[in-house]
Amino acid sequence: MKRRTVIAGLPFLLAGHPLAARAQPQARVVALWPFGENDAEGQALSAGFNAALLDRGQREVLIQHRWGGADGARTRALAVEAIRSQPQVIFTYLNAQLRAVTALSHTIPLVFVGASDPAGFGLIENLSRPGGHVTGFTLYESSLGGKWLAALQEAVPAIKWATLLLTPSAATRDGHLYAEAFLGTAAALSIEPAVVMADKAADIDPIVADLAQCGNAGLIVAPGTLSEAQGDRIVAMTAAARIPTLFAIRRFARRGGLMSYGPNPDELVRRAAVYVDRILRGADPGSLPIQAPTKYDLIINLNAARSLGYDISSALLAQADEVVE
Amino acid sequence: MTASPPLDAPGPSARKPFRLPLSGKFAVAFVGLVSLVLLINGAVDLSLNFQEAKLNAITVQREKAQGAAERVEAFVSEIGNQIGWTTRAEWRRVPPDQQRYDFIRLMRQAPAITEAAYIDPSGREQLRVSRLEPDVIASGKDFSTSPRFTEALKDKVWFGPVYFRRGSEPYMTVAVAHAGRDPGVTVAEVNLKLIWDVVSSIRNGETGYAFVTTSTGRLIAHPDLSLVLRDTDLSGLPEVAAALPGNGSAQDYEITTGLGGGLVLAAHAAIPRVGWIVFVQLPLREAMDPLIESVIQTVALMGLGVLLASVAGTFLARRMVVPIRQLQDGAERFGAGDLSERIVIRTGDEIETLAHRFNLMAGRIQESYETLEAKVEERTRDLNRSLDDLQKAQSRLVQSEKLASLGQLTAGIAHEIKNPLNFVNNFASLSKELVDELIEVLKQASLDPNTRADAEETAELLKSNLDRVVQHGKRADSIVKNMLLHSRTGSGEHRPVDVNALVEESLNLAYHGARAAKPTFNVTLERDFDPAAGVADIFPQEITRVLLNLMSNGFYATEKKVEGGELGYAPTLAVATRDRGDRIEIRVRDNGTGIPDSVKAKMFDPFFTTKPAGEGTGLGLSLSHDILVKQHGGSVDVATEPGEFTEFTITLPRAGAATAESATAGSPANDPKSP
Repeated sequence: MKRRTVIAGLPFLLAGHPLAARAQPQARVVALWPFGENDAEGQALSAGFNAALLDRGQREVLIQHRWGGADGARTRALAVEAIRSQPQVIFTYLNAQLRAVTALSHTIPLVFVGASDPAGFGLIENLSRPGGHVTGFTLYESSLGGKWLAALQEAVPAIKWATLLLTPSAATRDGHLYAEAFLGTAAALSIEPAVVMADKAADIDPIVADLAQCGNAGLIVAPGTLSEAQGDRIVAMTAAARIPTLFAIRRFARRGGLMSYGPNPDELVRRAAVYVDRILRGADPGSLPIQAPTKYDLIINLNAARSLGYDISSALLAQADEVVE
Repeated sequence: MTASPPLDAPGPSARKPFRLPLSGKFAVAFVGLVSLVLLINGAVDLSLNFQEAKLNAITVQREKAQGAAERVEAFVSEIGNQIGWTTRAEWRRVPPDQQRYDFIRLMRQAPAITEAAYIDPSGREQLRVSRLEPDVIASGKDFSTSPRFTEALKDKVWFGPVYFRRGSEPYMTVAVAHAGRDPGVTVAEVNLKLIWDVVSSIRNGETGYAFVTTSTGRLIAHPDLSLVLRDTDLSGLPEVAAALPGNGSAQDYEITTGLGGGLVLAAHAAIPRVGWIVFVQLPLREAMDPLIESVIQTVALMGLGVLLASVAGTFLARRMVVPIRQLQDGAERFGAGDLSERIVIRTGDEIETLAHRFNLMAGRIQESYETLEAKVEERTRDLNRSLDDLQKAQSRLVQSEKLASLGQLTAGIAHEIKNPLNFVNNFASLSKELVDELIEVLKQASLDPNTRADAEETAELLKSNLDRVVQHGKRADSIVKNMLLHSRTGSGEHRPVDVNALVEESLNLAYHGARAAKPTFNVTLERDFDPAAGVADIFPQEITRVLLNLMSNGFYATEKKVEGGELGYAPTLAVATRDRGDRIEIRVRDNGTGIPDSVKAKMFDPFFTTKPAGEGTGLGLSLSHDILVKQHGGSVDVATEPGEFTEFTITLPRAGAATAESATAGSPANDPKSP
């Protein structure tokens, strides 16, 4: 009877809402790291990434961490595998990982931390509105090349020679990041500059050996996958050779390097996780601007300074965000 | 009357005006009323809900705007406070190293400041500390005409336009003039991304968002960074225009066209310190979502209400109409004449009263109807009785007339027959004597014996024949006498007579007469005389004749039965008298053969007899009837059962003869032609 149907239908009308939310397939994120699987830094950063996503309420998302280390071939294989598995979002840490993924043709949203000249390589249209499926956070700016040298010079005023150790990550379309600012500052400070490129671990040893012979020489280690992997070795080598060294990567100052000036990668990874969350919730990666860190920390290792025989001025110590004793 | 409808009429229904039944009217009224109430209620509800939803949304928006404004203000305040460290009047006399240290400290305290610079009172840059570049001391760059210097000196604080470093980092230059006379200026490059973070993180419903403009309507922060990058001027946007200072609008919310088109509910809050305005906007549709839900609910409830009202109305109307239908049916039954049934309605209202009245009315009608019937019945009975009486009188009249005319006829005939009969009788007697004389003569004459014998024999035969002629002549004479008697009434005189004595005398006479005629005759006589019978004025001779006639008939009947040879039969004749007031009743009952029905009908007719020829004249009962009815004004009835009994009942008025005589005076029977 019609009347009965109408009456039976009324509760649903009154309820007003559909009874069940639409079922969603489980979201999946693949994170590509430049660390070995058991690397402490990698573990800390990935844990931060997971925690940030959890903070944003992404309880169901499946996060698959892939550990490629500094091995380019392995990183490329992992990138291929990641794209084949068609996750909702791919996360990359550092430029080599980003380039390994973007080298393959696909449209999976990609959030990076660490990229050199993404606009210059055509990964994005512009930094404020990437326009494609790639967005993320840069770690360093090219002007830091001068800042690093100035900081090293302030710590070791006697320095006469300085070498900027670059990795392939620093390569841009028309040269190298940091190099220009480095050279300009060196000229202003009357320091003899040298810019060297290390493609592989073995390239580092002769550079350190050269500097050891100079005396009054300092080393600046630019960021990159190779630096991440070889940082500890460089710390040991420079300590042995008594070369004051400034790392762009913060943690090597804590691990025995003289000093470091760079961003807090943990914070950036967390902010990148926020981007991942927004993309998972439907945001268009093309409309999320590429962001840069607002803060760089100066870390000074007094132990290293002491063992090298340098006395760090109190003015510099006052500037330091962190002093390792 | 079944008149066929006119041919041009389309039908009875077409001409009949539309009639809504009572239940329909009631249901319509009920449902209409409920619907009206529901509609009014719904309308009031909706308007209240709309106001409430609007107020709620506005409150929420306002709170969000104020919250956002507080956060932005806190951000700006922090920067202002931090810069304030370096704007003391004596700061320019501080050594450069200390100045640098102060800037480094400033930047550590205020993460948004990426670069700080000191411009001396002459407009030259004395110190620049940056997070990204090597510090510069005494660069001597000339900013004396730059707005960051001139405007800051003028207004104390200057906020530069938003610009982008590296393409995606929104920055603003904040210049603060130092205190004291002839001041310098501290310039800070502030990363607005932190404001942007504040603004982007303001989630307002699904699609609502917040943005910040300067007091002139320039966009400072918006979730879409590209808008900020384009240095958008929003002073043309209605919601912004209304909020800009100097427009005098006290309202801090607006329903207007939003940035992307479409109606939005926008609230704003000012940040007085910097003169910025924070806007929080939500599409009106989303803000009014609860309202739409409530509209759906209200409409559904209204529908449900109307439905329930319809069901209830129909039900109640039917309930109400049922007793009316019963009343109607009852009235129809009464109308059809069925007054015995009663309308049973137990609704306890006016309809029950009405039904009660109907019942009363029906009861009254039934009562008067029954009385009427009884009366009609009574009258009919009376009429029937009168008709019977009339018919009896008529038959009596017919019988009397018949007898009267017969009497007249017989009187004439008897008179005419009597004379020749006398001749016959007389001459027969004479002839008989003559035959005797002849025989005597013959005796004397000598004749041959045979001839004598023959002659004597013939004479004897003649004599016997003459005897027979005489005998039958006498009988004829008796018949004629009776016929004459029949035609003549009032023979003798009437006088008061003791009825019992008369009856006793008649009985004795009859008994002995019968015994005389037939010596073997035997019968038991039963007398039952009422001493109160008394005296009646009658013609004693006539009545005696009647009684004798009846009694001799009774004897004859018992004799017949005796001849039938029934065993143990005791012939009985019972005679009784009864006083019946002004009447006397005489009953003569025998237990003889009884009278068959065929005879009973004709037994009072003249010349009707069952007796063999010669034994009865057929005038006895006819005559008796004549005497009793015509002469005395009485009656005679007979009750009989063939083979069992016959009972004649005579009723005589005590003063019967006198009245009857006057009544029959002038009758033709009273005026017979005398012989």
